[in-house]
Amino acid sequence: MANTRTDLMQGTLELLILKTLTREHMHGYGIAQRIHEAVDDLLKVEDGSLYPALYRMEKRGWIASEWGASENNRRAKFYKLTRAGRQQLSAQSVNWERISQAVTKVLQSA
Amino acid sequence: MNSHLDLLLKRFDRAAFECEVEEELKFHIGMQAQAYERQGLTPEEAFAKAALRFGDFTQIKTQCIRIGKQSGVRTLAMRILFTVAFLLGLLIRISSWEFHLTRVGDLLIMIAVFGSLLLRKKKRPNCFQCREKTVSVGTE
Repeated sequence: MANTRTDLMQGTLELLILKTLTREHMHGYGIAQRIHEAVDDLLKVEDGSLYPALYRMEKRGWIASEWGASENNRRAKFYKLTRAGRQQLSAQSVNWERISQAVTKVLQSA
Repeated sequence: MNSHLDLLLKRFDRAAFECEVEEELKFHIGMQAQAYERQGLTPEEAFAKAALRFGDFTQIKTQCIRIGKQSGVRTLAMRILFTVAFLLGLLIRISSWEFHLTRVGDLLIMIAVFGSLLLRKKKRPNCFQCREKTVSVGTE
């Protein structure tokens, strides 16, 4: 089967990560799994691409990290959403809705 | 506040920071390999498949380290600069009765306060408008 590759804008992955972290703090692998489940394999996010995004988001203060024990008792780095991250999530969600509506409108009118 | 300090200090300990990045990425591949093993693959097959799914380990590790270091050094340098300016301004303001010197003190304090505020509110690019950096995704 042909492998259709699409370029997903950087902000989209960040939005997915922010949304995933609203429920609980998670390690990178957990975030990746949750995103894969949520998108129901419609989009295939490369696992490794998650980490530069996580580091960028931590640098911006949207998420914070700390080391802890994973479910199998291995040392893992857990991420949690900060207040700035919550604000960013709502701002990005609104922005995403706006862009999504605009694109849909153009596609429907064509 | 403490977590920010920890983060900055960690970024200065180059070797420790690089080890942490590597440990984090290896943890991910290890967990994925375990999941594949549970699906019936041999440990070797599971690891190979997990590593393939993860992508270019070295490139991703380098990218993470670069991002981490940039943030740590620059932010800490700016914070130190503004703190020194603030303290110096305060010292001049308190210890001097001369009008001109108190103005200098006020100016330093103002620069430090506005600088710190700018550092906090530093404008981020609208992520949906970042055209130059993209993340590859695909459907099979």
